[in-house]
This record gives sequence, C-alpha cells and structure tokens, in this order.
Amino acid sequence: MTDLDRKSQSVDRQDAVSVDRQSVDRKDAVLVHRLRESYGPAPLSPAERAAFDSGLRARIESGQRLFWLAPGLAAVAVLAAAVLWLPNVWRPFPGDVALVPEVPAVESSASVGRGEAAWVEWEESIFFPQLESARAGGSEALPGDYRAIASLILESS
Amino acid sequence: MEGAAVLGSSPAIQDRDREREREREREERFEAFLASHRERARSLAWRLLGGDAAAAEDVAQEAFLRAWRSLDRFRGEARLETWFYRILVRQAHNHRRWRAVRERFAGPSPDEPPGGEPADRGDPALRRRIEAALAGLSRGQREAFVLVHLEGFTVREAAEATGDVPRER
Repeated sequence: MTDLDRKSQSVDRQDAVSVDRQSVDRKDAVLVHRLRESYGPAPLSPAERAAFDSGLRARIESGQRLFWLAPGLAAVAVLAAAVLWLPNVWRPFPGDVALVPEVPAVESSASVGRGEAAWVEWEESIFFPQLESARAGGSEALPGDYRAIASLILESS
Repeated sequence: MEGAAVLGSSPAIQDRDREREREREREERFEAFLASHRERARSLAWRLLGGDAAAAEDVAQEAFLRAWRSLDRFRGEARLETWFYRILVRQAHNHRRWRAVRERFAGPSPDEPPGGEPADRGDPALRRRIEAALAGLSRGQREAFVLVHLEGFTVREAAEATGDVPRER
C-alpha cells in the first residue's frame, strides 16, 4: 500500500459522513485533506484559550449591564422626544408673534391694541373653542396663531 | 413570631434557590457548549474571513455571545448548534462586507494582515495561494467549500448553516 493510498483511506474515513463527499474521488480527497491541513489557524494555547474566554465573559457582562440600563435609556429617550415634540404642539404665546420678522419696527398704539386683542383671541381659542370655530366660519378657517400672523401682515401692508 | 417569619420567607428563599439553580445549570450548559465548539467556531471564522485571526476571534465571540443570550430558547444541543453556526456564518459574511466597504473608502487596514498571523499553521506561500483561490469564489461557493471540505460539515449541516436548506418534497 502506497503512502498516497494510506492518506486517502484516512481521508475517506474522516469524510464518510456525507454521501456527497464520498463522491469526491481519492485524488481530490487528498488535495482537500492537504488544503485543510495547510489552511487553518494554529490551535489555541491554554493562555490564548483563557484570553478568548475572558474576552467573551467581558462581552457577556457588558451586555448584561446594558440590559439593566435599557429601561433608563428608554426613559431618557422618551423624555428627549417629548422635549423635542412639545414646542410643535404648544400654541404660541401671543407675545411670540412679535418675533416674526414682518413686525413693523415702530410700535404704535394700534399695535399694542392688536397685542391685547391677540391675547383675548388666544384665551378664547383655548377656553371657548366653539366660539372660535363659529367666528372662523367652519373648518376652512386658519388656526388662531396663523390668523394672528396673517392679520399682522395684512395690516402692515 | 420567628415561626411566622420563617413561614413567610421560605417560599421566597425557595424561589431564589430555584433561580440560582437554573442560573448554574445555564452556566454549565454554556460552558460545555463553549468548550466543545470554541476551536471549531474560531477555525470556521478564520477560514471564512481569509485568515484574519483578530476578526475571526471577534466574530466567534459575537456568535457565542448570541448563543448565551438565546440559550433558553433551545432545549436540544443539536438545534442550538445549527442555529449557532448559522449566526457565525452570517456574522463572518457581514464582517467581510464591512471590511470591503472600509477598504474601498479608506484602503486596507494595517492591523489586518491579508496573509494571516505568523502563528497560523502551514506554509505561508501555500496559504496565500489558497486564500487567493477562495477569494475568487462566490460567497455561496466559498462558504460551501469551507464548511463541507475544510470544516467537515455534512452537506445538510452546511446548508442549514448558510440558510440554504432545500425544501422537502
């Protein structure tokens, strides 16, 4: 029995798990065996194995820490979302209308009056929404804050 | 008074003991799984990643971490094993993809020698030739070759690991 035969027999024994691999002929089996021997990492030394396990342990523990932190992180995220979202739903304070760039530079007594009117309108829109919608004439009307801006623009032009 | 305290606390103590016992069994199961699959997982990752030892270790550890998290979902060792190697193959594929993207935009990283570590076994020149040949294969071909011929998976196991299980007729 030649060396090649002996090698291929041992390869066949190792590879006899699947029908498909038995279809690889002996010459190919030797080549595959050689590839397997030449192309692979060196086995871990005990120190490397310990380093691998301790690295894995550290990953598991940091994952567990994150698991316990998750509810806290979720609460912070919800809070942050609320802080970002609230200004969009909060009706602007009437004084904020004055921040719109189209506001005339010189404030006249009429504009002070307008400010007071805006206050009243704002209060009405909050406490008496039915009155607001009746005055606006249905669903086609602008919301209160937009109307305040529109009235400022129309009066200044 | 004391008797009442003992009676009141004993179910809680029993629960804690049971919990500890479950945790210990889980640890033991994972230790056994790690011991029997550490070398094979590392070797498979190394071969799928073209001899990058650091990346192979990273991918293998990540797969073990996922196995640890999902240990309770799997009663039988065989199902856990199948699932584990599927995760590992996918992780290795994702790593290759990211590495390709990184190298495309930033050039090859100096900490990832393409020829592998000097401690790896075999003739370095032959290893480079094998590596180049494997790099020329498609993803599916490379995974199938490595799993079946280099790692000794059966065709069925390899198909399960790559997620290409043929449908039963």
